[in-house]
Amino acid sequence: MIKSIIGIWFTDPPTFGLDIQKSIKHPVQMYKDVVRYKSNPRSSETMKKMFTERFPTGNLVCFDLKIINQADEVVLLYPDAIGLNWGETERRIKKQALPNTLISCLNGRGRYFVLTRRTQFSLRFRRLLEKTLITEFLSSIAFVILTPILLSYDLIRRRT
Amino acid sequence: MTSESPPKSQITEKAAAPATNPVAEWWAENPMTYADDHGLVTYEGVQVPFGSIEFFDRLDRTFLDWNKPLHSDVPFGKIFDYRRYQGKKVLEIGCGMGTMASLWAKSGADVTAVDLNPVAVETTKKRFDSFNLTGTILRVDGKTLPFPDGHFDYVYSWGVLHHSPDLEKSLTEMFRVAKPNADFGVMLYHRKSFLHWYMTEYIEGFLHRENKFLNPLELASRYGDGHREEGNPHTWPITRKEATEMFYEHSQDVRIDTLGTELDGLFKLMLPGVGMRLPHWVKKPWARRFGWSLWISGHKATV
Repeated sequence: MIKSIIGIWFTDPPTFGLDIQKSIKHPVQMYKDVVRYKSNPRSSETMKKMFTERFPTGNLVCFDLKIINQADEVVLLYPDAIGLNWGETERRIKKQALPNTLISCLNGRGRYFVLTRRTQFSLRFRRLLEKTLITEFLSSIAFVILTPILLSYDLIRRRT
Repeated sequence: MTSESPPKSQITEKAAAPATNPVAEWWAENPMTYADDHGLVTYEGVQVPFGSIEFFDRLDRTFLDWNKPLHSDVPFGKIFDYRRYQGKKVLEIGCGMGTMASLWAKSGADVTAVDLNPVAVETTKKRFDSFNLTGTILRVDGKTLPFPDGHFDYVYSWGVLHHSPDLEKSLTEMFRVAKPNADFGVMLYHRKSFLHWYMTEYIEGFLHRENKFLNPLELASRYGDGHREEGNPHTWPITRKEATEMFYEHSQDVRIDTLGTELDGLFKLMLPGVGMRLPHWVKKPWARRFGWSLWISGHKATV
């Protein structure tokens, strides 16, 4: 079986430590740093090695979508866990691949799964949450509401 | 000071004896250096030689900085009564790079520090030699301590026993070697904490779908210490209720304090731009309920 893989697409190098822009004068960079830190992507070398170990007869390509219709399986190598920024690529691959081609994912956590419609929906939902920080925003509202209550409770109980 | 430091593989080659289990092996290869990541010797981008005076200085500064609320006029003065134990026998289970053991030695305690990790033992010995401190440092499994019953005046363990697959056995041993009515202190990770809920269960478990591949113990281990790489073999944080039940067998006056010294870093991720500017008094009510560490202390039962 010939396996064709979409090659590693990796725009930012991984960072170690809490290398996050601290100044609110650069909110866009701060936001990007936070999203990148939490996604914890692996390097392209790590992804290539992971792929080669799992699919020794596979063929690694870097974004050459032309050869997709020669493949029995296309494995997307997400450097992070859920393929942030891979939505457009997935749509193009699904359009170009033959109906019988299996489209699957191998992510930076070493997890392998088939990209079914249900999984794709699940990933899109999670990407939305991760990039928009909706959960964090809602948590902030709860934080603002609850903090005075907790502080008052502690004051009454003389826990300072 | 040179800018070179040994790669991780050389650090384990220096160990006196091979590690005997996966937990010890992992910590030997990834010692807790309080650096930019596990096992590294880079502090805010500056690389230092492993085991050098500068290494100990940088490590200690980071470790002490992380735990600022616990200090008084001395480091950890709010939880350790150094004066009371001058000349007395103190046992640390899981000494790591020897920061706390050295504080006890400097305060005049007769300190014994043990660790399963051979790199930790060797590094602590080197620290003691470098700073002319005296103490007994041994490579020992906390489940089989080579000390007689009722030997120590004070026993403690900081952030270690939740990495033991048999926590209860380790605790039983710890209490065995403590004198009747001896004080004890154990820090364990807290499962009902913001850090665990947000970083492990929400971000990795739910958002990154790791809960489809890992059970709760595997998830806590994978995304506990060493989470930026591949995690560690075993981490199981406990709850206050579990701590009470576990310790009640050994002590009837157990006190559990929740420590939230990690919240600064967590709020920086949760509320970028705002989180790092929250005043301490705003974070405190959350830290004391949902902090990442439980400090469990009390007296060993007399019977």
